[in-house]
Parts: sequence; C-alpha cells; structure tokens
Amino acid sequence: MAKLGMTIDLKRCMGCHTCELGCKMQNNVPMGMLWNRILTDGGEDVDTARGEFPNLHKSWLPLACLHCENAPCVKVCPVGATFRDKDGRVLIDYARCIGCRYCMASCPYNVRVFNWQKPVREPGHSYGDAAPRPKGVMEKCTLCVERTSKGQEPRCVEVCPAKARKFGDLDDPNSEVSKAVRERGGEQLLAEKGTKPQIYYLR
Amino acid sequence: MGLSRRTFIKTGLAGAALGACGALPPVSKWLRQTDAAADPQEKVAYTYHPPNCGGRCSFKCTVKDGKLVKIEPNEWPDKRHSLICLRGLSELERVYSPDRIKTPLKRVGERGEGKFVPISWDEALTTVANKLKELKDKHGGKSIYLKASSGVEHPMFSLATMLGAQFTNHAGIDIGLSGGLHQVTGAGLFGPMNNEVTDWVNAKTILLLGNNFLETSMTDAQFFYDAKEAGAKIIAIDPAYSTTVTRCDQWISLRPGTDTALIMALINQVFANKWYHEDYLRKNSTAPFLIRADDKKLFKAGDKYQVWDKNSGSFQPYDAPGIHAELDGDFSADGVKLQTVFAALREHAKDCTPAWAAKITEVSEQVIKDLAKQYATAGPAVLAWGWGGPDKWYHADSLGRAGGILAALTGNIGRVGGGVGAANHHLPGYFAPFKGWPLPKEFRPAKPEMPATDFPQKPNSVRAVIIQGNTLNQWLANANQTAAWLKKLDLVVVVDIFHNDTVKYADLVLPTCTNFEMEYDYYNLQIRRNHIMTMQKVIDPLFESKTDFQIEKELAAKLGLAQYLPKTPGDLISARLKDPAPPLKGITLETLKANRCIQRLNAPMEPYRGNMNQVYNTPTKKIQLYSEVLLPFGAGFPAYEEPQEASPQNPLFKKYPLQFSQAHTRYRAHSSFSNARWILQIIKEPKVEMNPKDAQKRGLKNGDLVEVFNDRGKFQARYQATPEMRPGSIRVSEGWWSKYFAAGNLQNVTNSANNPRGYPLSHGPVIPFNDTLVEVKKAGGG
Ligand code: SF4
Ligand code: SF4
Ligand code: SF4
Ligand code: SF4
Repeated sequence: MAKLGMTIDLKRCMGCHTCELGCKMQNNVPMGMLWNRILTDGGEDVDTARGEFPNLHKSWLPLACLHCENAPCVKVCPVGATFRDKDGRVLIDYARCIGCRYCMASCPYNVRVFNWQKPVREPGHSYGDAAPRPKGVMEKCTLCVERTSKGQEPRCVEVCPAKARKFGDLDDPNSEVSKAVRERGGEQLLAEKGTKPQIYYLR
Repeated sequence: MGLSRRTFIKTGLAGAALGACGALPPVSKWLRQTDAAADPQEKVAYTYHPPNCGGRCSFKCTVKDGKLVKIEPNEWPDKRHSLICLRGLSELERVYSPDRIKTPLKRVGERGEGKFVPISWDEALTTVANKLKELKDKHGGKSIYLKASSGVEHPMFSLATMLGAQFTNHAGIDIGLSGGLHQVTGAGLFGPMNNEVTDWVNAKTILLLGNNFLETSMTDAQFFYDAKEAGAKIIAIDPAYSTTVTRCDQWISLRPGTDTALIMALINQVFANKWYHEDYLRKNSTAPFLIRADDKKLFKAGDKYQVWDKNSGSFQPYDAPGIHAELDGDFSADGVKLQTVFAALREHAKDCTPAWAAKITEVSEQVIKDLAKQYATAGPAVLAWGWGGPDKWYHADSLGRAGGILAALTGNIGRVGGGVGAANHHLPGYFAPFKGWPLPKEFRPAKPEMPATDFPQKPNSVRAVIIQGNTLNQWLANANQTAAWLKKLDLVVVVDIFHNDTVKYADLVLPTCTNFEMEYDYYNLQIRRNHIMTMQKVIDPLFESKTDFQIEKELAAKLGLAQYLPKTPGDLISARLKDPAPPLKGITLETLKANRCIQRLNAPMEPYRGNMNQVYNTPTKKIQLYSEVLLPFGAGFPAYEEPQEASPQNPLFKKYPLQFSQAHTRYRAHSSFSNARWILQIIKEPKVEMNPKDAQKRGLKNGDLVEVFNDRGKFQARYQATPEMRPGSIRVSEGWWSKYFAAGNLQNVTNSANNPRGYPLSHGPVIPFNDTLVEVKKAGGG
C-alpha cells in the first residue's frame, strides 16, 4: 500500500521533451499520440513565450495523467475499466474498456488519449515494456506500472536530464516527494476541482 | 495553479491533429522475418550515441527478435552521467526510417536532379574504385577529396591516406570563437572550456555568451541548475530570449553581431577600475612582453622575447628565473620605443568605453558597467559560449580573443570555478588522443590545398569528392554556389544512411548503417566526460547497408590495398588502446566488454580544471594577449568591427533589412534527426521565427507561408510569431532538410564569405552563416 506520486520542478524543467519521448518508448505509444506532453503557456505553437519583447516569460508544463486521489475518471467509468490500484495508480483495464470516452470528458486535464484507429507504430514493431493496446480503447500514463511495480522509477523520471522530476510514496513523510511537496509548497493543478492530483508542481 | 481548462482542451485538440503524422511504410522485403511468438529472443547490448551534439551518451539497448525495442541510459560509473535526450530516444524510430537508403544507387538523371536506380554493391564499388584510380593516375591523389561529416564514427582517413587524397574532418561550423581563443590560450578545436561544466558549482558568476546551453547541452542541464542553486549568478548575453535565458538570473539582449564591442567595454572597465590581477598577469601571460613602436612586433633578443626585469633593471628573457617582469611602462632599446603589452592593451581599450559600446550594442551604459563589475569582482567567473550564435560571424575570431583576454585580465583561467571557452563540448577533462591505424610510410594524404569552405569558391585541383554524411548542405553556406561547384566535378560519391540533401548530388550513393547496426561485435571508441566507451553491435545491418569500416575496406580491396587495413574494427580499437597515455592504463577491449562498454578513465573524480599549472598550449606556454600571427591584418589586439554583411551600415541593408540566423535547437544535432518521426510529432516543419512587430510591417499573420530571400537565393516556410526574437532579426533553426521546406533550403541565402584573417588561424576561417541579410515577404498561394 502506497500513494505513489511525483513532483515536477518547473524551475528546472526546460521543455526538452525528453520525458515525452521516454514515455513514448517505454509505453509503446502509437504515432500521433503522446501520454505525456510539454505545454507552453505563451501560445499555441510549441515553445512560445508570453509577453512582448523584451518583457517576456516562458515556462513549460509537462502534463500527463495526474493520478488523482479523487479521480473523476474512475467515478464515471460505467464498466469499472478505470480504477485506482492499491498503490494509488489510476489504471485502465483495456480488456474492459468499451471506448465510451466518459472518462475523457470527465478528466479536467485532458490527458487521456483514444485509439480512434488501428494504432500505428513507427517502427512497426512493439517497443518498450507496455503491451500494445487495441483500437477503440482509452489509454494514458500508468505511472509506468511495468517499472514501478518492480521498484524502478518511471521512465520520465529516469530520463529527465534536468533532474526536474522526482518519484516516490506520498504516504511516506520521509520520501523525497513528500519532502519536496512540504518544503517547496507543491501545487496541484486546478486544485479547486477537488481531484487531489498525486503529481505536484514545484515553482 | 492558473492554467485554464481551455488551455488544456486547446492543446488536447492540437494533439489529436497529430494523427496525420504519416502511415507506416510498407513492410520492406529487406527486414528480417521473425516470428515473435515462436522464438522470442531478447538480448542487451551497450553502445554510445555519436551525433555531434558535443556529448556521447552511453546507452543500454534491448533487442527483441532481432529488433531494437528499447534505448535506455547505460549505468555510468559516475552516476550523474547516466543520461539521454529526446534525440537519443528517437533513434528507436530513426533506425527503421523509411528514408533509409536500402541499396547502392547510381544516378540516372542530371547531377542534382535526384534520379537514381539501384545497383549491386559490386558494381558500385567497382565503378568508384576505377574512377578513383583513373583520377589519381591522371591528376594525382590531390584531385580526390574526402570529407566526413558530423557524427560519422569511421572517417575513411586510411583510404584517403593510401590514395594520397585531400582529407579534412573539420571545417567552418561553430569554430569562429575557437580560432580566436586558440591565439590566446592555445585552446583546441571548438575551444572547449578549460574547466569542466561540473566545476560550475564553484563559480560565483557565469556569463553565457550567445550560448543556448539548455537546448544544446541538455544532458549537462543538471550542472547548470546545481550551480544556480549553489548561488552562482547566471547571466545570458543573447539577442533573443532563448530557452536558456528563461532560466538565467539576468538577460542582456544586444544587437546581433556586436558581442565584441561589449567584451571590449568590459576590458575597458577592468582597466579603468584596476580590476586586473597584476601578479597573475606578470607570471602567466605575455602582458609584460614589449611591443616595438616601429614594426609592432614583440621585442626579442636573439630568438627570445624580452621583458623589463625590475630586479636587475635590465631586459631579460621572459622565462629567465628569478626575474620580476615589469607589467607597465615605456622603454626603449637601440633607439626603438617599447611598450608593454599590458600598457598597449590598456591604450587600445581606452576608447572602448561603456558609452561607446552602448551605441553599438544597444545595451545601456549602466548595464555594461554593472556587468563588468559583476564579472571582474564577483568571481570566480565563467565566460562560456559555443554552438552557434556569435560563433557564426565573419569577425568571430576577435570575439574569441577578446573573451580570452578578459578572462586572463581577471585571473579566471586556471582557477577553480573559473574558465573560458565553449561550454558545450564534453571533451575537456582527462583525455587521451588515439592514434590512427599505422600505414606504411609511402602512403601520405595530400596536404589540403585550402579550407574546405573555399572549394566551391576558388580554383583548385579537386575533381572527385567522397562525402560521408550530409556535409554539403549542412556545412557549406550559399547552397547555389555549392551546387554549381558540384556540377563541375568528375565524381561525387555520398556514403550515408538517409536520402538527405547531399545525396541528391551524388553519382553513386553507398548506403551505410546507423550506429546501432554493424557486421562486427565492436566498432569504435570515444572518450567523453572522463569515461571511455566502446560501441557494441546492437542489431545486424538493415537492408543492404554496410558500415563505413566495411565500405572503406571493400573499396580498398578493389584498389588492391586492403592488406594494409585492420581486419576488424576490434583490431583498430585494440591498437588505439595501446596508447601509453596514463588515463588509458589497464583499459583494454576485454575490460571494456566486461564493464558494459564503459569505464572511467584513470582520473580523479573531481571536476577537471585545465591550465591549473598555468602552462598553456601556446608558443610561449603563456596566455598570449597579443597576436603576432594576426599582425599582418592589423589585428595585434582584437577590435570591434561591424558585421561584414548584417549591418545597417551595409548599403544592402536597405534592400534586406533583416539579420538571418540559423540556430541549434534541441530537436536536431546539425542535420541529424531532421527526419526523426518521433520528433516530428513535436515540431513538424521549419518555421521562420520573427517578432510579430516585424511581421506586422510585412502584413504577415502567424502561420502564413513566407519567402525568405536575398540576392543569393530564397526559400519558403511558415512564419511563426515569435516574440522571443529581437526585432530586426529572424531565425530558422539549422539542420532541416529541403524536403521539409515549402520550397528551397535555408542555405540558399547564407553568407559564405571567408575572412582573410581566418586562414592563419588554427581551424581556418569560420563560415559566417549568421552574418546574413535577408528580406521576408508573403509567399504566393500561402
Ligand atoms: S524531461 Fe525534464 S526538463 Fe525535459 S521536459 Fe520533461 S520534465 Fe522538463
Ligand atoms: S488526471 Fe484525468 S485521467 Fe488522470 S486520474 Fe485525474 S481525472 Fe483521471
Ligand atoms: S510515469 Fe511513465 S507513463 Fe506516466 S508520463 Fe511518465 S513515463 Fe509516461
Ligand atoms: S543527442 Fe547527444 S545528449 Fe542526446 S542522447 Fe545523443 S549523445 Fe546524448
């Protein structure tokens, strides 16, 4: 039993997309889909700053499923395909998923992706550790369940060259993540929604 | 947190639109048939990643059923370096790219038209060998020119030597400052920082000069943040608001191409406020050397430079023991007036006041004064540049020299937490030079007639080129000039993995492997970050590709020369490891194999700091503040000069008022990864990045198709509203292949002028890619 979570230090994040592609590789994510995206708050194009020269601001927001403790996606799933496991990961049982996309509509963070067509992989073979998902199911960040169940860090944490990400058990007050949340004042995204994300941002 | 739900939905939709990223290529007949269910074979191999990003990350690769399925950072003996970036990860897709050249090809249309038919290896190699033999017999070996590009692990140097051909393996990219710094400190190619980046944590001030560290050196980012968290003030000098600027404590935006004026003003302030380190300069630099008033040369007696020794009241050789060299003052000998280098430099910099520099750089006087004080007095201080930016300007050598001089005046070379040079190279540190394969003495390469950048511009003997990689497009400016040269040649052979822009001009194309494929168990060695790595075979060569090693060997066989080459790359590795350099002691191919292909060199764990003994790789072994080499060009000391092309003082400016730069980004390493489909999901085409104010004047809206043009040529791409860009300058990130542009190629417009002063410099003239003026207009049908 644990409450697995992560902190992402936005002072360190430099929008390098390494975690994005690390996630893709690890989880066999098809083309055109990304479980983990790097947003910029300045505009629609990637890496756009806010403001006018020279008064500019730019910061990146890596965003994947936030593994909400009080997850709306779990509540609305009519077949129980989306569930919170004993270690606090929000997972999807792909065999049960009927592709109704209620969860997608209910997620305030828009982090779930749907296999509209037969998933296309480039290269054409399966890669990483996660099993391929069929057409017509929802998928998203699993907190790298294949790795974290074995005691390894999620791939995005392992590969972040800025060391902006930390992973651990939020129930353990001595874990790195608990300490960071305490000391740096970890923020939850759209806290007012009451979803209680287990991914905290440090600013 | 203040992000609206709308933001998420918007990005979500943008994400969904990515679905059109392109379909899987038809299963190629060359891909090995495997039955995953019947025989799931899994193995692990270790290798490193060699594109020229400056790093060489070590990887653990998982192969399943003969296919690469996972790339992870290898466990380095020094934990901090178990790293990878998005480019390394994207190799998983790139290896299997539909852009791979699958068989040898022969040109059928006009040269440059890009029409080819597949041929056999035997036909290809026989044709190339016969032609080379013919050219060598008729015109001598120097009529053949070999060039290996960025990221090529096995340059065919032995073949070039045996043919007596011209061979160069470096040229004008990102060397502008390095050539200048070499004059001062003796820094090597690319002028790496003399202190490793791991030492930045000991710095109090870090000045990044046109250096987008967090994009070009992502795998060193932790050291940047560690330094910042330890309290260093990090200041970015950059015309544009770069990724790195976003994470710095201060940003100084200056007019592009004027960095030398800024540094000269800092030197001026160091003198004005007596912030220089007298004793350090006396002992470690040529500051007390004496400049003759008549010919401006340094004063010598016999062949020894002289200084004025205060102890004996006489001229003494600069390296005589027990002297106290006078730093300042005027002297005379045999009726010739003499002045110390120190005094002459002070005089030289006297007019370079902050007010003077403010006019040129458009940085306020106060900011310059504060910067000078911070750098000179809140040390130790790092002055770091590299990979693009101010490097790619016609007068860049002066900036490298001025930077070296500034660091020397303030005692920041050979000091814990100090340093000067290119920050992006992971080379400095405990290092061992590897020797090449020993060939019989009768074989000798031809001396290169001119820097490679001149071949398209000046008469020369070259009639055939053999190019490994996308060299011609990536590393020569003014592409139309390059194309005209190529059309005149007798033979163009391109050895590469992908159908990139250089391949288009080939008569014969030889498909090589990616660095993950090979016929051999081990392929090559590299030293980075004080570790030595070897490259293990991950998968078999795909399609009909062969390694560069194999191609060189088979070509040599056709020429009757194969017996002189190593039988396998393993032989070459073992020969290289026999080097007596102490860092290599006890390291063999066997020990490397036993250590996941990576070992720490015999080197202390603390950060490497160069020149701590205050011995420099210069003729005097001291920091050289004055350059006799550049004296014939009137440049004994560096001085600010207006950019050669991109200056408002240039009459061309009226017609083409925008400065154009090609910057490195995290998405490519030169032109590698232009076709990486995983990365193309993030950024799918080149963009003309321009400040919206400039765009407005031209009636452009974000996303419009625009044409960038000048008298040299033009290209088309989409405009991206980029408030980060300084008004008056535009940018297209480097390395994109033509096929990603709506029309043309960014090198069609770039400046290829060579500064005459560049020739005597150690790395030759820099190509002033960024010293380019253009205009932008809306393209028809956009
Ligand atoms: S890998 Fe790290 S620095 Fe890069 S985008 Fe992800 S969180 Fe940010
Ligand atoms: S972020 Fe969205 S998908 Fe993830 S647990 Fe919360 S509601 Fe569900
Ligand atoms: S935890 Fe794993 S699945 Fe989730 S974003 Fe990171 S890499 Fe992807
Ligand atoms: S591109 Fe450079 S930094 Fe990135 S993984 Fe390769 S070697 Fe490392």
